[in-house]
Amino acid sequence: MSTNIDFKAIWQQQDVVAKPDIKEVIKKSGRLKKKTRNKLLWTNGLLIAVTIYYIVFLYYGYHSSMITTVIGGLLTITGFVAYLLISNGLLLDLFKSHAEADSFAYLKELLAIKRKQEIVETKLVKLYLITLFVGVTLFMIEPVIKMGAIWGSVAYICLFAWMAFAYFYLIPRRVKKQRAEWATIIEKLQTINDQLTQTGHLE
Amino acid sequence: MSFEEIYDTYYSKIFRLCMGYMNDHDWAQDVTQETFITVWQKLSQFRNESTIGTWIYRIASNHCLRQLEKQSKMPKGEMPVQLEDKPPPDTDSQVQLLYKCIAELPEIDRIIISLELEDVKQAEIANIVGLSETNIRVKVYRIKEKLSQKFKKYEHQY
Repeated sequence: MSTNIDFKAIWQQQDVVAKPDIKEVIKKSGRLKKKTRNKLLWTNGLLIAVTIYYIVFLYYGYHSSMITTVIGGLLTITGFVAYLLISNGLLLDLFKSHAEADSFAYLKELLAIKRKQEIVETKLVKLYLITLFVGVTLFMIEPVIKMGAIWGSVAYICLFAWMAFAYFYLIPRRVKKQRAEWATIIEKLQTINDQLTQTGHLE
Repeated sequence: MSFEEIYDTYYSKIFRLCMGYMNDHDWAQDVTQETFITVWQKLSQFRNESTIGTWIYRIASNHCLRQLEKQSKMPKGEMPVQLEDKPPPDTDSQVQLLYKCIAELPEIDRIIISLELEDVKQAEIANIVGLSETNIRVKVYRIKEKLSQKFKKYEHQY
């Protein structure tokens, strides 16, 4: 098959759109990034502050003397903070890719990141919920004792029902939806990766 | 080389590479801009381990590859009609045809042939893509063959 068409000449004739003022583009991108980051920090900071405030308030409000209240409060706060950090991708190193690597290495990196994200989202969300569940259960022991048998039972039944709903319905539903999205991306990445790995026989 | 010099020298080259990959003017322009934002952010980390060209082409190629994440969120077939690619009316039909043929190739082939047509040395392409030079040489030959077949087929049609 002849390849006498001068592709290079045709290629070079492609109209190139007018170059935008790159300094302006960079400035805009920087502003956008800062705005997104500030929003993220502000929302997360607010959520954490409110949680800590309520736990501390309840702790002192009830003049707590039981160790379960302290352990429960700490578990809840730790779980919450860890979850927010991970779910917002603030653990940057875990999901960092190197755009200046060669395509082969970059694709491998992207595949690894996607798989890590899948683990984080599926396993850690469940782990977070369990931590939260244990934390709140422990934290509630003291106030519930003071509430009396009936209201105490109501409080625990509500807590268990909510946790069961979240664990057996909400999270699996979310994971299923995200899995489908990841599976598509991972499959595409794998296909491109195969284009590179299957070239070994050409040599 | 200062960032401004890099931008002036490589803008058209990177734009064409992105066009070869995406065959969509607006999209190619966005990815070109994303590439230069990364170049600007990482220029101080550039250690002369490769030529500046290889380094920039690597960033651009990887930005192109990364687009599949966006594609999966909005597959091209489901794009609203007004967002479909409409090349500028003054673009030569042969040029349109070439980019159309390239866009039909597998992703890695699109990058390799775009770099080859951009006159990047095959040793450098090997360095950008992460394959051996021999592999690139064979691949370029095969891609050109495929491209010629497609090109002629379409030329007969129109």
